[in-house]
Amino acid sequence: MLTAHKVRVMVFGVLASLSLGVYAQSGGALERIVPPSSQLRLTLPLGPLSVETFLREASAVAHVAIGLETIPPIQLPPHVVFHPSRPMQMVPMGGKSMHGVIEALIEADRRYECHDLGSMLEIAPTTQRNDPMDPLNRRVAEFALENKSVAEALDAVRRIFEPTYPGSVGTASSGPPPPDVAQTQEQQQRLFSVHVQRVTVREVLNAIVQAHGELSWIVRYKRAPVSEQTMLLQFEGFAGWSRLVTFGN
Amino acid sequence: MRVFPPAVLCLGILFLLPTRASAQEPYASLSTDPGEFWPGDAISLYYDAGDADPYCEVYNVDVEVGGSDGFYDETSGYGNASGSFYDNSGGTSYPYEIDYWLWAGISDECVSGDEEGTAEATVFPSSPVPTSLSIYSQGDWNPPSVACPLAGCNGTCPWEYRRAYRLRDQWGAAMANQFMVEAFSNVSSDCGVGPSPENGYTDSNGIFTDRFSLCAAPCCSGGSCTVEATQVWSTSNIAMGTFYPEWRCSGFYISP
Repeated sequence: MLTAHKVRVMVFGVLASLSLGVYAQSGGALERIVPPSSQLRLTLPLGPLSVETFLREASAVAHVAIGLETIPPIQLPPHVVFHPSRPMQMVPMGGKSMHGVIEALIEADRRYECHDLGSMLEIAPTTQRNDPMDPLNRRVAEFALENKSVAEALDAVRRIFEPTYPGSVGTASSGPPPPDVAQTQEQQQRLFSVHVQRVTVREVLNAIVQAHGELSWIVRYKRAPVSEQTMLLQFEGFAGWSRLVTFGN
Repeated sequence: MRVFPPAVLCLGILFLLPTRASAQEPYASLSTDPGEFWPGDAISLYYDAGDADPYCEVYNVDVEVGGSDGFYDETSGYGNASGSFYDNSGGTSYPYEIDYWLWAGISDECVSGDEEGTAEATVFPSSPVPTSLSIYSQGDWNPPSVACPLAGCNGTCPWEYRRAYRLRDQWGAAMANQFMVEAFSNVSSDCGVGPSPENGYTDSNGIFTDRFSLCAAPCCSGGSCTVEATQVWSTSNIAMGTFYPEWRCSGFYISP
């Protein structure tokens, strides 16, 4: 099912900005508007965490689910500090469509491409998206969740790589207390089901996000190379909360 | 987006030279021609007195930049002229056209000339930029309020630690309603859980609170474990602070 969906995106969706790696489809998430009053700004030049933090904020203010795989950080010697190559520019994004937002980001970092999957956006580096060794491209014969929460979905994804994983119990929490406790709890405890076959891990994550409805996934790597040993997977709810699981050691 | 009519900035350069003849006229060029102006940028104006006799010392240079949109700078001195241009129009970025001319005084022995040109530039506004994140307050929070449903923990995490930060802009003013994004890297854990980053907004005083707690099976059963990570707070895609928290059954530690 997901494979067919992907084909539909590729066939009908190459409407605009193909040169920038934005694969759009009519009526998709790219048409969502960032509220004009939003303080969302794209700060250039991009810093080490810019792509992730920008997209997480864009997702939150525009209420658009995203799936984001990032590029492993460059390992700098301890004494080397990142300095922008030119003066900082802050480009306001309020009032723009998500298409404009993503286009501005990819204009700044052309290693990424974006696929509009209708109810969500998937953003990933082109090379990693096409790399068979990327853990998110690992093939899964079947993935099934029946009335499970986000925390249980996270454990199930980890079991794709580590079948004996006992599951995460509890949480090491950090961050601002949720402004809306009821909304946060509802999103965390919401039960949903996923049934997919012959898909990649990337498509499993997309299916989870789409089944939940108010969720994004973010995969980052502790360091190069891209592998399950260095992978961090995070589900993030629209209310600002998240759950994170590490893979490997 | 505000649309500004092309404005003209004039750089008047006056060379007052002692008298000597020279065959080549002076010239001048902007270091940002073409280029971009940014708030607080130092833009150099290079000039050459041409074939003026070395004895024809340039002893005074005046540079004036002015316009209805709020640019102004004046530099006076010997040698190369340079100035810092700043924008107080408060607008969004817009193209700017700069006309400048160079004029050198004519005397009996030193020849002078003038030069005119145009520099295309983009001026960016001096909008508030998140610049500093300082610790406003911190400490244990009693009684702990974060729920923990695990057996042995009586429904609540055994401890809660809160640290409040204040976000300020480049002028030191508190930045309200800024979306703060938390990210973790270098995560290690033997607690069976990883840290869960959360997002939030600064309040009207530019303050937001980071609340830490640990709900893990080893802690609730009287054992011990540790979660470590590198924590980065960002806003407007700018990393504002890097911290190293440690969640332990016995309590919470963070540096700096």
